[in-house]
Amino acid sequence: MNIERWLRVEELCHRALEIADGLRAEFVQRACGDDNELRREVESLLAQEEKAEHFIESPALEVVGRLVASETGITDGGTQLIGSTVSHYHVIEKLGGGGMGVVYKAEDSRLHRFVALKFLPDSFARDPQSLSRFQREAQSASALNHPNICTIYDVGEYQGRPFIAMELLEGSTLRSQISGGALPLEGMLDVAVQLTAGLGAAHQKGIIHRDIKPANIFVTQEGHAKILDFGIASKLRWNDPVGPTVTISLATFKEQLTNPGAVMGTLGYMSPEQAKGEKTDVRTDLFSLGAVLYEMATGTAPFNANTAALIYDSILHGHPPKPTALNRSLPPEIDRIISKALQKDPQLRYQTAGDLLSDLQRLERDMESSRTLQTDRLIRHPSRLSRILILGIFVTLLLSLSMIALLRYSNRSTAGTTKWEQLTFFPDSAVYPTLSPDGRVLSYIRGGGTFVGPGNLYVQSLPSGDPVQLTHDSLYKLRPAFSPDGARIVYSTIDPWNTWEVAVLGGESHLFLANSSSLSWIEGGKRLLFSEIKSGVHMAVVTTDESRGQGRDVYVPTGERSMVHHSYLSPDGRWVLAVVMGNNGNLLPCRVVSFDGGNEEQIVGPPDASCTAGAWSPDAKWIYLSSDKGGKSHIWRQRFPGGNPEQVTFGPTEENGIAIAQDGKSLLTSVGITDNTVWIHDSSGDHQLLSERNTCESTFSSDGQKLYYLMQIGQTPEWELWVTNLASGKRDRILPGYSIQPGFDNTDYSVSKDGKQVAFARKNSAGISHLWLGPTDHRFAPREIPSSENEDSPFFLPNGDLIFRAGEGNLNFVYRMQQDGTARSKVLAEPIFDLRSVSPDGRWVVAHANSPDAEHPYSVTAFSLDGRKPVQLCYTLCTGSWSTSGLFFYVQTLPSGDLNTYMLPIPRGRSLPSSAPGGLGRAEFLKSYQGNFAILQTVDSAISPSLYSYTKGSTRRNIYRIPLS
Amino acid sequence: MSVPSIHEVTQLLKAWTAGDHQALEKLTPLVYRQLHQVAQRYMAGERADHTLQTTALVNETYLRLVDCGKVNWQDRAHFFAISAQLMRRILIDFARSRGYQKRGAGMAHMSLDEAPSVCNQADPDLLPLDDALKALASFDERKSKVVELRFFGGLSVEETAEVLRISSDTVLRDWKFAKMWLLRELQTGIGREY
Repeated sequence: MNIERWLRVEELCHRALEIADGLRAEFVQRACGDDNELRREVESLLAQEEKAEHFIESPALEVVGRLVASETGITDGGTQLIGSTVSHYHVIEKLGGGGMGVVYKAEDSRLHRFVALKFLPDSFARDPQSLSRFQREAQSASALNHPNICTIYDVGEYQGRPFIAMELLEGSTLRSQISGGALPLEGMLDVAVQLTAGLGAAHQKGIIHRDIKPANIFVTQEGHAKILDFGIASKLRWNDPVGPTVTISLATFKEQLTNPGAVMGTLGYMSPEQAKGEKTDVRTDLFSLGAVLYEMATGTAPFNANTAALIYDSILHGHPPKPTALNRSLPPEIDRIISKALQKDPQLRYQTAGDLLSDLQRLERDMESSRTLQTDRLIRHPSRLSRILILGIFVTLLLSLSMIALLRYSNRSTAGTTKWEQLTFFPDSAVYPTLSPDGRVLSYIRGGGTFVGPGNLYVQSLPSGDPVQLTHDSLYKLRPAFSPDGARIVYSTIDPWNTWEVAVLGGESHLFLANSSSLSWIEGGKRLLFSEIKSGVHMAVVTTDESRGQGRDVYVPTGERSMVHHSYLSPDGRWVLAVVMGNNGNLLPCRVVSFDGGNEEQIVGPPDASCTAGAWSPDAKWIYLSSDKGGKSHIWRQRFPGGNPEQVTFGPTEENGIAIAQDGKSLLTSVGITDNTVWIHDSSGDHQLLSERNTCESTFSSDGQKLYYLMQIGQTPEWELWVTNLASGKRDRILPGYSIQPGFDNTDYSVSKDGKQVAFARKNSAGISHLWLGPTDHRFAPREIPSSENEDSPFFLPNGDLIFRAGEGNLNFVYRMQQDGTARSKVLAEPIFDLRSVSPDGRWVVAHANSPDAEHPYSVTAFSLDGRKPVQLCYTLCTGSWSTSGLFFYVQTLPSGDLNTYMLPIPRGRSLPSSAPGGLGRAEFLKSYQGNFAILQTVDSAISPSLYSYTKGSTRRNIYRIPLS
Repeated sequence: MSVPSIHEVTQLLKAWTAGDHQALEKLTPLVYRQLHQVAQRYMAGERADHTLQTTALVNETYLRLVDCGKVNWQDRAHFFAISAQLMRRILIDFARSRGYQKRGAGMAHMSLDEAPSVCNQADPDLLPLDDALKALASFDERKSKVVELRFFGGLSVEETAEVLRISSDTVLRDWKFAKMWLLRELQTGIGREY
């Protein structure tokens, strides 16, 4: 490699490009002199000029999207198969396709019956080993003959592609039947009994399904439940934790492509033993069936979360609410049955399908006899469909009745009290509160983030109606708004930004207005106000009539990537309050513009704060905002015009979104609270360190007898350092009066090996971080170590010196110094991003830094302090640290997506675990490392694989009514 | 010692900076969803609005970070850089898994007149491009970064400049020259040395 030559080539090319075509050749000739090689090089590059203009101008995502489109268009279209004969099956039509392959309807020309032909994904077919295993399993499964199992007739191969011929079923999967919510009890029990009987029959033949989930269960039009894919489902699953390696197959990609979230959906029915990669048996299927029963009974999957890690955690440790808590119409016996099926320990679960079946049948009989006593049974044996329909009508009726009833009483508001009144009670998140024009119905989006996130629209009548789900698509949504008559609700989805409409009483959503977002009716319902994409992502506020005629721009923000996400017209119709995202994608302070146009903006609310939502008081005198000033989003208000911003809500919660009651006496907002708790794992299991306060960032003393941690101070964003003696439970505040703010990328404190001193970082009033040193026993006050630079992430070296991260210009470096601040020196020549850990022997540090590897520009690297070669441990999405004892190194990494922390024993006499080409971050390496321990937590600090601490966090958001003075 | 989770979004941010695996899990479905939408759009025969799609992805992802209101400049640049890098990894892995070794290789079984019209003749073969980009990085890392951020990350010239802390003019120069070089490499095969 010759850098000078490369630079010369580049320079000549750029100069040549500035010269007119005709003169270019001569210029190159002259500039290169007799260096022919240089000339050829420059000329060959210049020859690309024209082509290069369009080359890779279309982003990679588009390129791959086109490839997918072209391929899907061919293989999934299946046009070449239809009408042809596969073995002795005449292919008639395509029935569907998904992650597991494509299914066709065909006629068996020998037996003259219709069958379903399922072709497996190509990637699967290419692997001879898995193919032969599949064929073996399918053969044995074809021996199953039970009315509740979809029969496999035949296994074959056509032009190298394996296929299965199976019973052709007409109906739909349980997945699609329960996506609308819980099944009626009778139907649910009926399906449950059938499924259990089917499972029992397979188990008796020694065949385990291992992937029981609603998508693998079919309910025919006659009401027969059929378990699909026996003996093959688990072989096809994307991420078989039982297998030795994790390969994400084409099936995964296809499944994700055709149905993003499908993979997550699959995980939620997995048993704890599958999640841990342990041995499975028939009880595994019974656990998964329990999860399916739970969802049929409640409409909600018991183990549900956004990421695989959280789902695993929930399966291993979570306790879903009792089914009767979610669906009050259920008999209590259901709680007992489902809870027994969902026991984490297989020993405590139902041991056989027969046991479960007799419990279900007993319950079914009891329900039957109690029902016959009732006189209001409409139809004795309604078909499944009509049962669901009747229930639907009944629910709608109830809903409208209860709304009418509640509307009458809803004026009993809480005005006059100062207490916040909680209106929703979700364990997850409800955001964007909106009130109907008469203030009697509340709507909101459940799920997702505060500003935009995947979720569904809900309504509930005030003051205390039950939540009713109106959408079931979990698309990214924002800002619902009621129509002027209060009968319909519009809401927006993003990318594309469209506004949808749904009736308050339920039904399908319809596209209301394309390219529009955050839409509201103005001028008594005659006109609309909404955000519209002008080009790219440039989003402006416009007003039109209901048929999008007579439109005009109201507010077009400067900056071609800036977006006005929300707009609120003042009650007097003169002003528009706007929520604006700047050119860089950051939310700016809110602003007010004139409704009549003119781009003059008045900034309102706290300056330099991200404003997420706003509202006007009914008398148009006040503006209310939710704004994040100083790390937490709270409600602010400001008189308009001419007032100053004042904060309305304070405290540890965060408030987002505002709906003001018609009488102006209260507002509704989404109140979020985040809990962080330190947990300890020791020989007796896992326990919470403290339950009453938020705690995080725990670290063990070197003897493992004490645990240091940060604890939140009251209702502030400040945290203090505490220590708990693990044997006695006695706890002590180490640095009273010295708050520490937990950071993302820096270590905030560390304790010396002898346990006598603590080093920590604190920002001064100018925002510069300096190091402080204090005693752990209150003997004297902590002192600041003077410095002119930004310094943080302190660690003690064995001799008591400090090693830390220090800023220098635009870069960060690792420094060391004595405790009095003298003998400062840079210990590594390379700049780093952040300093992660220091080995207990003081010979290595782990830092996130640039990497020489082109494929991975950043890596987590162990740097030697005594001149050895750096060791790249793993790439961006991982980190590593030593156990306090120095005997283990723990790696927190992704790739398999199944476990969070691997603890690796360090060979005697070494400071680092044995490395491997490609780093420590690869799952195969970690799993095969001799003596490794896999821990399903993000470990904070560890003594050994049997004694470690970790922090668990969760956020809940619910809608509250806050009285206004 | 690992960093605490103060906020669910902070966790995501932490993921990018500190290495939690949830980050990739959250981003990957997002990329697939985008990819799915792009593919759907082409199948429906719509015309592409290139810039909207990828930047919308980045903006949407970034929105989730901004949610916590605690993102500073450096985090943002870092975020874009890692985002582009992840896009590259996810898309290249995807192309490899689908057997897009060479243009059309994954579609070898179909005849020409069956070939759909959505393939753009100007589209590069991704895997050789990725290799060429690696070769470029070995002696001019900045140019390879410019290509990564622009092509895989879908960033604008200004955003690329911000991430790499260079001027927009430099980005444009690098971009133009890198494209010429890559094109020539793809035509003549890899292996040229400096």
